[in-house]
Amino acid sequence: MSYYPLISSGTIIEGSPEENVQSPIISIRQLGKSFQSGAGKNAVRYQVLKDVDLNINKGEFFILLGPSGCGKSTLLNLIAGFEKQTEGELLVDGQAIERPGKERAMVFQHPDASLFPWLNVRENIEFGLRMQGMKKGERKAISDRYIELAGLTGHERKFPRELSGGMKQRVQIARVLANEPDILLMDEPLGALDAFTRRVMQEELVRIWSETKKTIIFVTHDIQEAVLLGGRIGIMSIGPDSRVFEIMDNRLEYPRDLTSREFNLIQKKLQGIFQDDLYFHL
Amino acid sequence: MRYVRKGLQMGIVSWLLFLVLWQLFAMNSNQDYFPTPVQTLHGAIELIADNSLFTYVFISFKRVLLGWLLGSLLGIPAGLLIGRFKWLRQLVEPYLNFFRFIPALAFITLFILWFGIGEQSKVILIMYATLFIVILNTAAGVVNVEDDKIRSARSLGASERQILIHVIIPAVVPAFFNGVRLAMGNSFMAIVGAEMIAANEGVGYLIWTSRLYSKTDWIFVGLLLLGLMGFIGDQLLRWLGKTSLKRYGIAKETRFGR
Ligand SMILES: Nc1ncnc2c1ncn2[C@@H]1O[C@H](COP(=O)(O)OP(=O)(O)O)[C@@H](O)[C@H]1O
Ligand SMILES: [Mg+2]
Repeated sequence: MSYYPLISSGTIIEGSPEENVQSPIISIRQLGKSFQSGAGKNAVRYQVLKDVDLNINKGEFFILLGPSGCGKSTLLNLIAGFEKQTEGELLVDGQAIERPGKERAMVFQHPDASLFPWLNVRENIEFGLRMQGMKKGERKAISDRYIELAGLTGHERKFPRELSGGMKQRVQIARVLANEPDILLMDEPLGALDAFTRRVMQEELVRIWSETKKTIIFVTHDIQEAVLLGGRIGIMSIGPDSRVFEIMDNRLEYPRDLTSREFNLIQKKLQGIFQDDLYFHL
Repeated sequence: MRYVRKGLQMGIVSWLLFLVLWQLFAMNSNQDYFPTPVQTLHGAIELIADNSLFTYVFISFKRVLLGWLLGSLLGIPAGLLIGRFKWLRQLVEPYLNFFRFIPALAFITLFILWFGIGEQSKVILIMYATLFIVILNTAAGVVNVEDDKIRSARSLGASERQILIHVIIPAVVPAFFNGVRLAMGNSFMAIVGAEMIAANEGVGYLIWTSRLYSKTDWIFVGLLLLGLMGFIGDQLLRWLGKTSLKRYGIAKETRFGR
């Protein structure tokens, strides 16, 4: 069974985004972002991102891989519209991003910081719909669907503090899906989970992606996770002046077998990139 | 054993021990200066008989409640605004950090000159005592609302007004609640001082004038009343927090040692 239009299972095809013929949903050109800290004479500029070029296609499960501090969250925040780039161009559906919008949803790394603890599971999931003025009955029909999709049935009336870490991330995912976004931005959403829960959630995520056909940009610093989940893997260089310097195409069939030869081949190849001395001088 | 544990839990053991220690200490002292629990009870009965006890408690409580309510009602919107707008915060922070070091009581003479010797000056004093604590707590609560919550709401399609009402205010409830609880304690301190200096009714007045008649038992009654009033007020607030504000996460942080 395959969810992905594979050419031949188990092969690795590397390619640049330019090879894609369809017009991308997100198009990033010469993008840069610097932060200024301090003021006056002591002001220091730190160029996190520089010359980032990247196209994301509609419906793809894109992985952004890189070590901590390289600027993955920064790039995601730019796409979400939480922050403004300092250089370059960032288009979604051909439009420059001005502000956050509900077509671009973010699943944050820390659910305790992003969920609303005074709302129960259902109320959290319905938050976006309620803000748009949708009636209670309509809201319930939609939240029911995503409660089920995220595997939260039976927990609707619990509050975030009564949930495990994995369940909280399910609530975050259901909360954004209920809002019907085009693009899901996920910032290391499984990073804080134990290995077992993490594995379960990884499988769930692939299932949710294949059922909803959303465009996903998934950030991780875990090579195995990168190979397990997505299609193309964008590899970022370490900061400052970080960019996406290589894109690896991963067309392994789902569900993926961690122990298979092909899986390990891709994983090794990625490991090789990060262990290479050259990586630190990119 | 089970009764002892239950008694400890409910604070009954503590109070029995308190009475015993008090009795022992008083028996070994000059009781004109340190009355026993029974003498204090007699004093309380005298005060009940001439109708002053309940009147005084009622009057002090009314002053505290009124000033505290007004101060809180004013402090919430002020705190929200100050927490929300950085320029406003920068503008008023020096004042807040200056005036909070002037105890409310220090203003009593001035307030009497400005607002008269009657109720008004006392209520305004309590309001002053309440206002700063509520503002500071509320504003700090607003500043501490996680960015991710606001960002979540924004990318889920909430407007700035909706973010204020549906994210910031609910998120600030615990901090605000902490503020009003602290302010309640402050209010009692302020009212007693005010009543000692300038009043002819109230618990503070009772404590102050009893000295003139050397009625230490009445002084003791007054002190116990203050503790009791504060305790009941706080319990009421906590109960309110636990029942109606439970979902905002207040129940768990309102008591230590549990
Ligand atoms: N608001 C900010 N102000 C200043 N520096 C920032 C800010 N946000 C991120 N940075 C810096 O940008 C770099 C990349 O951060 P981030 O995007 O969070 O990395 P990652 O998500 O890959 O771990 C870090 O060096 C970080 O200190
Ligand atoms: Mg990050």
